[in-house]
Amino acid sequence: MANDSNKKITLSQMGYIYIQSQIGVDILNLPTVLHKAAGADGWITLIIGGLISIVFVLMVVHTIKCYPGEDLFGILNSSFGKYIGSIAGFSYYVYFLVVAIYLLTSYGELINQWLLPETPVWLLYILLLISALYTISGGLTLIAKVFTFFAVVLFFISSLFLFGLADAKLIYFQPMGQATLSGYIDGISVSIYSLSSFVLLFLFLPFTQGSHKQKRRVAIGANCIVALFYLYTVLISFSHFGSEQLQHIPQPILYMLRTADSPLITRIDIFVLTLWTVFAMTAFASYLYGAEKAFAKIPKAKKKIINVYSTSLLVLAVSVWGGLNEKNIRMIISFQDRITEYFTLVIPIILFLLSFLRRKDKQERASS
Amino acid sequence: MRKIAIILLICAIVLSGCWDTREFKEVKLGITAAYDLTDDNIYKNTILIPNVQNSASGPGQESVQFLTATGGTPTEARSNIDRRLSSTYSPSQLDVLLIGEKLAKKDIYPYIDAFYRDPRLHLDAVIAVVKGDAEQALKVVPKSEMRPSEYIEGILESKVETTSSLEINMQKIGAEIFENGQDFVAPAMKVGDGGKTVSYEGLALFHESSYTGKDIPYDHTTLFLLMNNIKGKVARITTKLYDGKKPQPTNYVTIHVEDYSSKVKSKPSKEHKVKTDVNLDLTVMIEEYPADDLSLSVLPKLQKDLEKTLTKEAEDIIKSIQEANCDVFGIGRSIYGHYPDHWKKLDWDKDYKDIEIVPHIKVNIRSRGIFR
Repeated sequence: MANDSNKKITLSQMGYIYIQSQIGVDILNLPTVLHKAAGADGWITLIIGGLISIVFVLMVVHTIKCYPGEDLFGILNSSFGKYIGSIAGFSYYVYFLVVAIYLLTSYGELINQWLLPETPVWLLYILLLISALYTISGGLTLIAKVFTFFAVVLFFISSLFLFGLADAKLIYFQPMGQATLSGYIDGISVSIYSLSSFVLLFLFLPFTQGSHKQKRRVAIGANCIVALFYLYTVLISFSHFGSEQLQHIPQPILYMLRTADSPLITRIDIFVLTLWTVFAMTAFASYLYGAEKAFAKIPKAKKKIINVYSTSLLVLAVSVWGGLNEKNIRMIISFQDRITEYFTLVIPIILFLLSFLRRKDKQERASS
Repeated sequence: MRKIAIILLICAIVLSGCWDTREFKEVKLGITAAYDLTDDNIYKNTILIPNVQNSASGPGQESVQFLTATGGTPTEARSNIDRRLSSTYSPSQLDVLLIGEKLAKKDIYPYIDAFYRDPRLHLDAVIAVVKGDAEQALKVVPKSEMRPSEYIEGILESKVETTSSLEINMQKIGAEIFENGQDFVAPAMKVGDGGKTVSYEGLALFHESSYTGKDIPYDHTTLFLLMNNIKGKVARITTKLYDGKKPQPTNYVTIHVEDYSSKVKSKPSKEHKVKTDVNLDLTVMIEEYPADDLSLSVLPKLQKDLEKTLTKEAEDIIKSIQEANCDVFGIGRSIYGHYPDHWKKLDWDKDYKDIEIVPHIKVNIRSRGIFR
């Protein structure tokens, strides 16, 4: 990635990268997860979670502003010092790996259940892995171009969701305010985690052209688009299924399209699922890219190609283990849930606070 | 060397094609299925498989094949059917699912669970209850029909257009089965004319997922569906306005509903726990008025009489759905939605029968036709 630093992506490309890396597996199961956490109030917690995620985006953008020209690992090093910084960098490597594994196994499970029950699941992993590797092999500028190109799918897919409105009943949003406080907190944290790719801004934003004001605007705008898209899917699936039925349906968005009939396509759910693989691929590619960049920082950057392959082999191996049965997948998911908090919430907050110290530091040095 | 390797790799990926497929030629598609319980309470599945023989001028006469098998569950019965077929039977394109009265009165959910669980199956099938044996209804094949397999589906579809039945499929009733305080209705059918035809009989009232044994009779379905905010392409109501006029037809009037608005509002009340108002405004055209003296001065009286008779009919409908304990208006869900505290005090299964549901029907006669 040596030539990455002089090639920068444009603002709109950054926005598209951000949107595409956010929307992954969550979009399909978010309504059910939210409903389990906060009942019929799930969509309210999503709005609150969306607002909080904007605060985090602002913090990330501010932190990056304080360390011009440095990416996540540079920032970690300058904030925590070399020793702790590289440990933190390595743990981010683990985090990105775990998320990538989570995305890959969830993708495999879904495709296996819905579309290709007889294809061995490792083959599905390899297919996604190959396309993701090919996307990130060309560096950030290529990723940006591919992701921008695929952005069309978002608009297409969201218009197909409208079929679900045919049987929607507004009464299913009522009663409001029945969830307990802990239900609300659960719902809000689920929503923030579903928008947790703001961590990736640390990797993309330093390589974006434009002033900090523009970057901030684009990052917030992209975050809002993703949050609104989530809200849209959640509202549609809540009004389509009653609350009792929603508990039994892990992928409500696909499920409600099972009966949608159009003159052109008989099974819209299958069609949406194939379109969705694009999102699965882009989100997976983003995290794989993150993991690969993190890995490159640990042993004094050697050959890029080895980094990529070793990382993806690791991802593949763990995913195959995860794909053996549902228990292993749940283990991966719960492990990811447990560590997500630290890497998406705690560390960005610490970095944000440290950036103030550093500024003071600078000012003192300047004055003395 | 490298080039060859790349080319081979590309060929392997591109030319291998898809093998995880289910092809049409390998399966027999059941279009209509009938689920019954035998007298010994054993589940019995009958399917209709159409075979289209190709003739010189396009698809020719269709022959149909009936297969019956018993089993513990629908899937077991399915594999028992499979044993007698040269290819695999697949219900993935099922259009109509007929359910025998006896089975419907138990619990239908265990029998349709596979449709919800298996992503290969389509949830689009219409569910209909057959009075008596569903297998018999399925086996009715009128000679005049070009496509015997579409006979029952055709009846149901045409009834939706005339607002006598409603569009229903397994997905639509899914929410109602699971949700409290909300029930559904399904079309009811019966074998008639000594087994030569099948007729549409009205709407079967369900409570949760079992048939209550009570129906909304055919002549009340249109009014009922309009109250429930459903209208097909045409809605026509013939009603008996007067008693004892001679000749007989002059007692009746037929209205064509051009426009309507319906609203169901429920709120807690002291005496009956819940009070529900069903408001229905109809804009109608007089389509048939055998008494023949339809002058402007008669209209106000006719309008009043119509409102009175329709309200009376609506009350009958409400009485029967309350007796059947079928909350088809979703009153319970609406109370739970808007008054969750009040809902907690209710025992809906018991209290629903005693709540007060009042129909308010307003008729606006827009036109009397071109003959005065």
